[in-house]
Amino acid sequence: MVTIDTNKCTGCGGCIDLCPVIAISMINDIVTVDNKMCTECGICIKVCPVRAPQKSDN
Amino acid sequence: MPSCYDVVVVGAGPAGLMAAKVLGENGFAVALLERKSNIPKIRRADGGAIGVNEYLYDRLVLFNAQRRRLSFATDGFSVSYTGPYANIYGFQLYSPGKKRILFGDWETAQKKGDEVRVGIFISKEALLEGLLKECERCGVEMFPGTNLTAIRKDGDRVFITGKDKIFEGHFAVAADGVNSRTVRLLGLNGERSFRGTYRYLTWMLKGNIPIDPGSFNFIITEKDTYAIYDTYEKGMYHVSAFNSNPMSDLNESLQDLIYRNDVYSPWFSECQRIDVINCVSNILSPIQIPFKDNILIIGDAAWTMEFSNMAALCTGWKAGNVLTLALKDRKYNQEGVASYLEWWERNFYKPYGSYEFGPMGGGGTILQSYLSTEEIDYLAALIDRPFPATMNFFTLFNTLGNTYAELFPRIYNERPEVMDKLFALRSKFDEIGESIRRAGFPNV
Repeated sequence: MVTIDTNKCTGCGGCIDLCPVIAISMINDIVTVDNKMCTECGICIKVCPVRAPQKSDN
Repeated sequence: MPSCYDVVVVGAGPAGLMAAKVLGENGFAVALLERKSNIPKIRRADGGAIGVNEYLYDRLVLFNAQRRRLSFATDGFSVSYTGPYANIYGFQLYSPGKKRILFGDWETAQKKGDEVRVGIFISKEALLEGLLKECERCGVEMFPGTNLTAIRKDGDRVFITGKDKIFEGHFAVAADGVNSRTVRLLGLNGERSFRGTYRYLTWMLKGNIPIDPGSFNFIITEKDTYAIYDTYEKGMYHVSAFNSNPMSDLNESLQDLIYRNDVYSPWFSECQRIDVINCVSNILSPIQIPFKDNILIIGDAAWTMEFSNMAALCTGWKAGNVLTLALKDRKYNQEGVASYLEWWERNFYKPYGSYEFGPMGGGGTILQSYLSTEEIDYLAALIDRPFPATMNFFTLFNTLGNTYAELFPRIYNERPEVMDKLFALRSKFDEIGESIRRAGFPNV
């Protein structure tokens, strides 16, 4: 599953737009991953310029 | 909320706010959806400038500081801008050893000021705040904190689902920016070609950086390519690293410039980091016919990459006016927006849509991977006088291309090994483009 380090996330929304399964939304101006939809493709982790998304074990 | 709006606008950036404002002023019922909770606050790099006094995309924008209006003279409208600003006098390119290529004349700028500016740094927040107020004044209903999740067309109505609410309208406007959710849900990305994933990281620094005031600077170092500019606020700078390589660490790259680079790190020794903003976007080919299922796609949502505030405002204004007529004529279909589609194709898609944002378009280290820093310094030093001021990237690339083409015989004479490398680089452009594409993550 993917969690967002809210201290790092600046709310640019890039991961939201690039997530292939639309698992990410903007809530209160930072992003949240819906782990029921997340396929762990790793794209958000790779593209985020501030490395806010982190892979974590359940 | 009414059972049916006239128009549902998705995205409250400059394009969406402008479209909503025009429609609201013309008496229509408008719902404006935005995923951010704080609409004017900018969390995405960068948007802090607008070109004036120079034709950009064949359009002229004028700024009247006394009346506090930005006038889009070519399209025939103006908007209020009451926020802070500072003049922009052109671009500067810095080589690794601080050799500069100027697109502007800063000596004249000192004396002539407003007369020779080619742009203004603005507060995009102030721009959006002003538009938002005007929307609220004419009854546009705002729905911040609302992510778009579904769209559906039924007869002459379109249904937009956001935050578990369904918004119904005769038309919708997709103004949700580059890599638009609306465009994705409409299934239009399948036809678009993909050019790369572009990433941009900006540190906002307070201090005193020795760049010319009102300059938009690009710095090439051995490690990466950067942008630095002073903003509307004296002593506040934006320093950015950007490229199309998702595996690169932009933070490391910025730190290299600011803390480690022998030539440039002294610039930042008195600076303090205030904030960070960034953006990630896929570069996709533009949409030729930006309309489907009663949804008109405007601004960056129909373009290739983050475009310009001016283009966003112009497409929003045009959409608002065309939809006004379509609604009055009850033409809830493509015929109703035909004049927008024709205008879009003629003004944007045809003349500028196929511009190849080649390997350099996404920033990065193309030059640096072929040429040594000394060789880049040598090439930069060949330019011995400033070029005319501009904020137009097309002009910048064309001017450099033509100038260096004319210098080839001299370079061949003086530095044949550099000439060889330039030829090698040129012949590899397609290959470099391909590898940039493969490194990226195309939108579905």
